[in-house]
This record gives sequence, C-alpha cells and structure tokens, in this order.
Amino acid sequence: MLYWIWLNELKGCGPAEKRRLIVQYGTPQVVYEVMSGRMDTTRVSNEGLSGRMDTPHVACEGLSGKIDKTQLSLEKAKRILDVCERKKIYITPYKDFGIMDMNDLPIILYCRGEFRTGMRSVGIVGSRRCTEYGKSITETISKQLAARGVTIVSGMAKGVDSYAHNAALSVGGYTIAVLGCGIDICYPSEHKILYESIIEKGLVISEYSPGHPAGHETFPRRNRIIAAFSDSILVTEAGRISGALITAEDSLLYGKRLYACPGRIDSPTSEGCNRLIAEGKARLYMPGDLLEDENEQLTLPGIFSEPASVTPALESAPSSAAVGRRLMQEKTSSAQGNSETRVIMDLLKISEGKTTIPEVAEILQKDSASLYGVLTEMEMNDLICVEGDRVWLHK
Amino acid sequence: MASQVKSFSIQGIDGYVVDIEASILPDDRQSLSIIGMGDTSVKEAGERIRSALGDCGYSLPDCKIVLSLAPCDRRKRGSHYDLALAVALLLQSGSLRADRISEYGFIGELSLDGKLRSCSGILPMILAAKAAGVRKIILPTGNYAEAKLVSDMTIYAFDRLKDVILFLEGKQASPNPPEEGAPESATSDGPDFSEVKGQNSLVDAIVLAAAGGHNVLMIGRPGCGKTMIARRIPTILPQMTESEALEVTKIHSISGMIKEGASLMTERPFRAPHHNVSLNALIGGGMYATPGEVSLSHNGVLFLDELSEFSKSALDALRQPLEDKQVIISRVNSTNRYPAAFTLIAAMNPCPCGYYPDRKCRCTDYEVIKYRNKLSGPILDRIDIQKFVNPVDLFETDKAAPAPSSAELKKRVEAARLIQQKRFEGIPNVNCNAAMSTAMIDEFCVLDEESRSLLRNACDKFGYSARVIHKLLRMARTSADLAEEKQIRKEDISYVLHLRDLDKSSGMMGI
Repeated sequence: MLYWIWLNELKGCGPAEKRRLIVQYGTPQVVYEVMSGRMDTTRVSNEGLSGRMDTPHVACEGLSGKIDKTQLSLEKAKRILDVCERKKIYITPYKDFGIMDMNDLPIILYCRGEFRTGMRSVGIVGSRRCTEYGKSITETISKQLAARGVTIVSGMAKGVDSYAHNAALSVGGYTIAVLGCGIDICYPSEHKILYESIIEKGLVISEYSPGHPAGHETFPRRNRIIAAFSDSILVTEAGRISGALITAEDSLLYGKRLYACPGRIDSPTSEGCNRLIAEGKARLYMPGDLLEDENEQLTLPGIFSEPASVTPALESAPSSAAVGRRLMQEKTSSAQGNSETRVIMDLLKISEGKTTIPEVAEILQKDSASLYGVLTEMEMNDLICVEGDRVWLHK
Repeated sequence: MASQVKSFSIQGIDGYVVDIEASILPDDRQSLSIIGMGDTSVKEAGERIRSALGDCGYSLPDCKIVLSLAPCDRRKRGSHYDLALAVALLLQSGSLRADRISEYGFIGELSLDGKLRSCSGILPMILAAKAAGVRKIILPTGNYAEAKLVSDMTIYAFDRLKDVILFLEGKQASPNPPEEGAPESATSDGPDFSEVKGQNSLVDAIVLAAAGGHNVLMIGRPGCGKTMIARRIPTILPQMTESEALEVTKIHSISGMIKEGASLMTERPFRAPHHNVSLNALIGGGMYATPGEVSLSHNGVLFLDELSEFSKSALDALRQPLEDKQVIISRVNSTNRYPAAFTLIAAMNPCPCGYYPDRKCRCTDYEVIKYRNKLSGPILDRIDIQKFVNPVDLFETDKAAPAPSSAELKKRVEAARLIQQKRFEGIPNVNCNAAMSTAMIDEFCVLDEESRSLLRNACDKFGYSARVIHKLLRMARTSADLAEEKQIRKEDISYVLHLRDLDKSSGMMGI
C-alpha cells in the first residue's frame, strides 16, 4: 500500500494521469521505481507492457519535467501508513471501489468501517441549516430507503446530511459517510457519536490522509465522491447557494439520476431544489421513488397521507366539541381497554398530527393528571411524542 | 479612668458585644480620633457626634479625645455606634452622671441635629445582648418593633439624643413604647395561584416541587407565564416555623432590608436577581462580608429568570449552596457562614430565538443544543424538574375550570411534607424527598414489578443515566406522598416521566 499512498500524494499530476500510469506499469511500485530511475524502462516494456503501448516510457518522461525529485521520498507515505495502521484505517484502491470508475476520482480511499459493494445506493444531501420540513422529509425518506436495503450516502455535515445518516442507522440500514477532511477527524465535532456509530455499522471514507484539515476546497471534492458512490442523488432541501447543489451538478456530470424535493415557492430554504426541478435538471421526488419495487406504495406521514382512517362524519372541519362527542361515541362503541389510545390517535389525525394535553382531557372528559398513564404508554410504544403540554404523532 | 458603654457588632449572621471606651487626654488643640478597625462610616461618627452634642448644648473641650471600639482587632462597620460613642464621651467628660450604665446596651445613628436614626442588623445584635446578659437596650424608635422580637428584654426607644441623656440622668421617666403599626394584613391581596389559568400541568409540577423540595427549571417562550408562576410559589410553601422565621429575619436585618417599624418576617422570601448579578451579590461577600441573594432567599425561593444568560462562574458558584444549604465566605481575617436553604426556580427560553419548537423558530438543532449546553452539567444535575411551559390562549382561559387557589395547594403541600417529616425523623439534614441519599432511595422508593419495567423501558428509550433515574424515583416518592399512598404506584412513575422535558427534547434532536 506504501506506493499507492505515495502515488496518491504525488503532486504535479492528476488522478486521471495517475490511473494511466498504473495501467501502463501495472502497480504503483513499478511507477515509483521507473520514476526514480532504478528500473530500466525498456526492460519494463519488454516484460509485458510492450503489447499495450508502443512507447511505454513516454508517460514518465513527460512527467519527470514537472515532478520535483524531492517527491521521490517515501518518508511521507511511510508516516501515513504508520498512522493508518495505528488507527485501524484501511486503504481501498480504486479498482475495489465497486462503482463505475470515473477518471477524476482519487486512486485510493481511506476507509473505516465495513466496505460493502453491490447494493443500490442513494445519496441524500441538503443544506446544513435546514427547516423542520427538510428534517422531517429527510428522516422519513432515509428510513424508508434504508429499511429496504438501500445504501444511504451522504457527507456527515450538519443538518440534512446528519439526519439522513441517523435515520438510516436507526432502522438498521447501511450508510456511507464521505468526509471532507482526514478520515480520523470528526468534523463537525458535534457528530462524534454519529461518526462512531457509522464506523460501527456503516462506512466512513475520505480521500484525504489522516490529519488532513478541512478547507474550502476539500468539500466540493468530497461532494464529487458522494455523487460517484450513489446510483441516484436526492436533494431534500437546499437554498439558492448550497453545497448540495455542487453534489447535484456532479451527479449530472456522472450521468446519475437526480431527484429534488420541492418546497414552497416563497421559501428561500427550498429555492435551490425548486430551481433544479424548474430547470429540468432534477426529477421531482414523489413518495415511493427510488425504490427497487416500483409498485410499492409509500407515503409520507402527515404530509401526503389522506386522513382516510377518520370517520367520514368528521371531515367537514368540526368544532372541538363536536369532535369530542363523536369520538366519545366511538369510544363507547369500541368499549375496549385501548379505546383511549384510539381516541387520541383519531384526534391527532384530524388535527394535523398535534394536540395538547388539556385538549385530550376535554375530549376524554377526564382530569389531565389521570391521562399520564395512557400517554406514557403510547409514548413508549412510539405512537406519540409528549413535551410539556404538547402531544404530536411520532414520525 | 476611661468610661465604658456597650454596643454591638455583627459577624456572619450573629452579633457580638463591642465595648466602647472614651478617654480624654490633655492637649493644646482639640482632636477626636476613633480607633478599633472601623470603616469610613465609623470614622465619620466623630463629626456627627460633635454636631449632635452641640445641638444638646455641649461643646467638646480643647483636649485630645480617643474613642475606642473593643475588641480592636475585628473590623467594624456601620453608623449604629454613634449613640454609644456619644454617651461614652459625655460620661468621660463628666457632663453626664448615670448609675449602672453597664446594664444598658446602645444602638443608634445620630443625625447632625441630635435625632436618632434607625439602623440595620438589630435582631442579631439584640440576640447577642441577651446572650451576654445585657437586658436593657436603648435604640431609635424605628427599630423598636424588630427589637421586641426577642423576649425578656427591656427596650427603650427614643427619638432624640437629648431624651436619652435626660433618661440616663433619671430626669425623665422611661418612654412610652411607640405605637405598633397594624400588623400587615394576611396574604389576602397578595399573588395567588387562582390567577394562573390554563397552566394546570405546570402548576401540578410546581406543587410536586414544593411538596418534595425539588428544584424546578421552566422552559418556555417569553411571556408565557414563567415569572407569574414563580412569584406565587412562596404562597404554597408550608408556613415557616418560629425558628425559621427568626433566621430569615436575622439575614434580612443584617442586609438592612427590614422596613422601619416592621417586625418578624412571616412570609417566605422570594428573590429574583437579574441575570447580570455579580458573583458576590449572588453568593455573598465583599470586604465586609454580607449575605448574597442565595442567603436572602433562605427558606424561600430563589428565582433565576433567563438562567442561560447568567455568567458561568455565577451559576457554578451555586453548586455549593445547593448541596450544603449554606455558604461559607472566607476572608483573610474572618470566615462567615450564611445559611442558604432555598428552593431554586429557574426559567429559560427553549432556544436562542425563543420559539422552539414552533414553526416560527429559526434555530437549527445545533444552535438549540449549544444554547442549552450553556448550563453546566453540575447545575442541571441539581434540578429535578424540567418542564416545558406552553403559551396560554387567553381567549380560551375564560372557559377553563377555575384554577385551585394557593390555600388549597398549600394544604396538599403541607400534608405531603408531614408524611416526609415522619419518614425522615431522626435523620440529620434530610427533611424532604429531594434530599434523600441513594441508600434512602433504596429503602423508601420500592417499586412493584410493573412500575419497574415501565421505568426501565423509559430509561432505555430516552437514555437516562443512573442519576436521572434517582431523580425520577425521588419525584415519584413525592408524587405518591401527595396522593397519600404508602407505595409508589405505576401512575406516579408515568407522571414523573413527564417531568424531564429538556432531557427528552434534547435526546430527540436528530444529531
């Protein structure tokens, strides 16, 4: 691996050229030896490359002008390899990426976690300052996809990225985080726990050697890898200027399928997404898109779902008292122990998924103090969330 | 021989006797010096005495006058030595002849025209006098009511220095005690919980806090009623005992916060320092150490509004008083101990913009967490109840059932406290559920199988630490006490699980 690292760190030629050298000489070690003049280039050509190329040493000769002799030292590569061994970082060369290779991808990636290939993957990206809407759809979609065996790729940034990773992990899914800094650096540091759990259950990759600081230029390059590692890219929420749009453009260059979640047209936080759709660059994401089984019906709770389970009599915007009467009748008719649960769930469904404890108490005609038992039970069963007096549907 | 009269000084919250001596030495010029580590207010007494005596018709001789406050190695401050200094001087100069002067103690500040002005710290000084066997006290009329709190003392209250002199010479009978002002009417017109509408669940949590001595953090947007509720908490705390009231009065007396003519403080104190309060003002201190807000709220409520805006050092300094129920202020020449057993009621916004989790809120999860992390762990650890406060729809509250009054709530609190007093009888320093140690939790908070599994599931789900579980158990004990139940029930557990909103909310952030 030493020579792979050396070649990766080599300045003066780009990843495409490095790929060409590897193809030409077989391994980075040979490239190194040829460059340092230890090996006779003609011998190499005789030993097996002659069939492929007429003038095998041309590539190296062309480079030798650009490359400083000090770069022939292996010291730096040794140091990096040492750190990698100590920190249990392993290195994957580009041939093992398991994706369609692109010339401008780095020739190696530093990895922590488990490298799985052959799964469908979706990159979910979006702005760091996202709204409640962006957070909610990111989490929902990420959970739905991850639960069905789709790899979720993102950049472990604040906001949408972290929600996508977390949601995927929460349903036991596989997720890949592509970092814009050295692989051993957790940036942003708030994501320490997330970083550890991705390493444990997913994969963290970076093209930067350990200890490499994050900078202006590292993130756009990181975005390119996200695009390359995803079969499709979904932008859930992005403003007019957002790093997620760079990922989107990259994915188009790579010929990936691009989706965007639309937002309100007057919402600056969705302007980037809306623009992608308007300009015909991205498809408008509809629930159920991106799944293997095109026929599977999926909905987003509270956003797209119809209040179908509610009694038809309630549809005409009823007053709270009327709802109460109606729900009470239902309650008496069901006459089951869990009827209170049902009444509360029905109430939540007709009131856009949120209500308050006093409201529930009024409808059940009970003292609010006696409601905590059933509310706690529902909360434990992941039906609702309770904070202060507010009660809302669990997402 | 130098003349000697008695006055008093204060150290910490206790007084001690100061012997005031006067000596007149022959000299060409007139001079007056006061020795005994007095501060500026003591040094300036000389000018006040000169002028006040002049008003009474005395002039100082052309001599060197030395006035001494013993013990001379302790710092003294305050203007209440004036009267004693003047009397000592008159005795020494021979202008005043009085018998049994050593039976009297003197307290009072002099005005330039010879009037007596009232002073602070009367109660601890009179207690010190009693302890030292001084049974007769001469002091300004304004301090009479406070001085009368101490039994078996003869208090003589005067308005003018002249009257004091005539009384000591036996030319005037002892003065009539000043008329006592009508005692302040009971709390009928004070704030009452019946005015708090639409916040029933929060009021329930406050009742639990009052009953078990738990500290409370209220989290809600500006104007949702946090301060209104905090202000009413003293009205539901159990009645202070005589000794508690005396201690509170002592602290307030030292700080000069007893109104003229007022006597014992019967209502529990409520203190609400602003969030830019200095460390010394909060905890106590200064060169001449004085009690801080934590001690002024002793046996009452310390309300910290906008908790996250307080300086970190001020908040961290709260840790000792919250733990030990007292503050120890050490200075080079003295160490003062001030009691500080208060209930901490804190309030803060849920996020920097104040509107989380409303749609109006523009803060990201990161900003919210950063804002909440301003409170250091050790402080949050000492707060049992964290409750979100929801804004009230004023137009809906008319329809709501009338809220219970403070008197009703107080009855419930006192009943629960009684149970606790019996439970902790004979255990020092523990008088309420909040003070239970872990060993006591094992003993008094036994759960049945159902409650145990509910608690375990909830703690797994929300990731509560062992410390939080102990808090939940303490609160469940109080909840059962309020219901006058011997055993903690499942209802108690499911109720107290709703009292850790902040933990829950921060746990649900998506990062």
